[in-house]
Amino acid sequence: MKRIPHYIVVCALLFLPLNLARAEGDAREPAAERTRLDARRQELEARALKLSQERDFLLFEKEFAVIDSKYLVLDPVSGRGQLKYRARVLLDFSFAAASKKERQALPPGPLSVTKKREDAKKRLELVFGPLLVLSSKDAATQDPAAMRIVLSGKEIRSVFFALEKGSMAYILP
Amino acid sequence: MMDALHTSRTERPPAIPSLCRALFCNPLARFLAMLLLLVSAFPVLAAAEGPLFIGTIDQLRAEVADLETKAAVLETQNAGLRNMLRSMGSEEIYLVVDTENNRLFIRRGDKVLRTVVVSTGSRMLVKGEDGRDWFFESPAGSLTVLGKERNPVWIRPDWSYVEENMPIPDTHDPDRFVRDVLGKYALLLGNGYKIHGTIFKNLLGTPVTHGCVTMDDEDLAIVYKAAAVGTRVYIY
Repeated sequence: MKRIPHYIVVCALLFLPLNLARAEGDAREPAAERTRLDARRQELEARALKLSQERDFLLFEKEFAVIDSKYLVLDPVSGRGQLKYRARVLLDFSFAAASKKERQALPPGPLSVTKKREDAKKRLELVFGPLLVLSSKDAATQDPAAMRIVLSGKEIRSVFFALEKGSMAYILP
Repeated sequence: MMDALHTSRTERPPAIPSLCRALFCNPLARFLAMLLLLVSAFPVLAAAEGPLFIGTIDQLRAEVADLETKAAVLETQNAGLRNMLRSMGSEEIYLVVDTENNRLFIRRGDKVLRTVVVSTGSRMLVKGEDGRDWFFESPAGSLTVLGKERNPVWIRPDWSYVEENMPIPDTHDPDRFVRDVLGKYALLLGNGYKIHGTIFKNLLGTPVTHGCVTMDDEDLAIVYKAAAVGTRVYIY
C-alpha cells in the first residue's frame, strides 16, 4: 500500500472542524425559516383551495340566481341538502353523511340529472350519471357503483317532481 | 541513445498530476478525499433540510407571497359574490309552496319561519260541452304577491258551473259573487290564482283545489301579515 500524501491528511483535518462549525451556524437559521415557510405554504395552499372551491360554488349560485331552473345543493360531509330556486331555499332535507371513501368518489362540483325513474310501486330515483343516485329507502337501485343518498318519502317526492332531466345538483366539498 | 531516452523521459509531463494520482490510486486517500467532500457539503445538506434541489429559501418565500396574494384575491372575489347574492333578496321573507306535500313555508334565507298545511291544485281535468277544458293545477314557478284583500269575494268562474253541470250565467250575474267562502284574507297571485282560506278544512293537506292555495284561518292570518305586495311566492 502506497503512503498517503501528508498534505491530504492535513487538509482534511484542518477543514473538518471548520466545516462542522460552519454547518451548525448556517443550518440553524435557514432550516428554522424553511420549516416556518413550508408550514405557511401548506396552510395557504389549503386556504386557497378552500376559497377557490367556495368561489366555484358562489359562481354557480350567481348563474342560477337568474335562471328559471331549480337545483340541489348537497353537502355529503354534513349530510344536508337543499332544493333551491333563484338562490333561495325551497326545501331543506337531511340524509346519512357519506363515508370518506364515498366522498372521495364524489368530487365537488356540479352534476346533472341524467335519468328519472319511477316504478310501478311509485318508488322514485333521481340518477346523476354514474356517480350519484337520490332515492327513497325502498328503491332498489340499478346503479350499485354510484353513491346513494336516501331521502324520506315526502322529500324524494318534492325533489323528484321539482327537478327535470338536465337539472343540476352542486356537490359541496 | 541513452541520453536521448533520458531526455525524453524527463521532458514528458506526468500522465496524471501527483495529487490526482494520490487520490485515484490510493484507496485510503480516496476515502479521505470523499469524506472531505461530504463534510464540505454538510452545510448545504443541513440548510436544505429535506430533499435536495427543491428550491432555495428565496423561491419558497416567493411561493408563500404568491399564495398570500392569491388567497387575498379569492377572499375579495368571494365577498363580492356573497354580497351580490345577498342583494338579490335572499334575506327577505318569501313563501314556498310544495304541491307534492301540500305545505307552505314562510321563509327568510335559510330559515323556515312557519310551516303551514295547505291544499293545492287537484291536477284534474274538466271538459266543457263547448269544447273548453280546464286543468286544475297550482301554477309552478316564481310568482309575486300582486295584491292583498280583506273579506274577499269569490267570483265563480265558468268551470265552477261546468263542474256542477249547471248552465253558465252571464259574466255580471249576481249568482257569480259568493261571500264567506275564501276566508278573511286573500293574497292575489295573478291570473285568478290566490292564497286564501277555505270552508273545507278537513281536506287540508290534500290536493283538492282548482289551483289556488288554501289554508285554515289562523295560518291565513299569519301568512297575510307576513307577506307584503311584492313578496315572492315560489310554487313547485
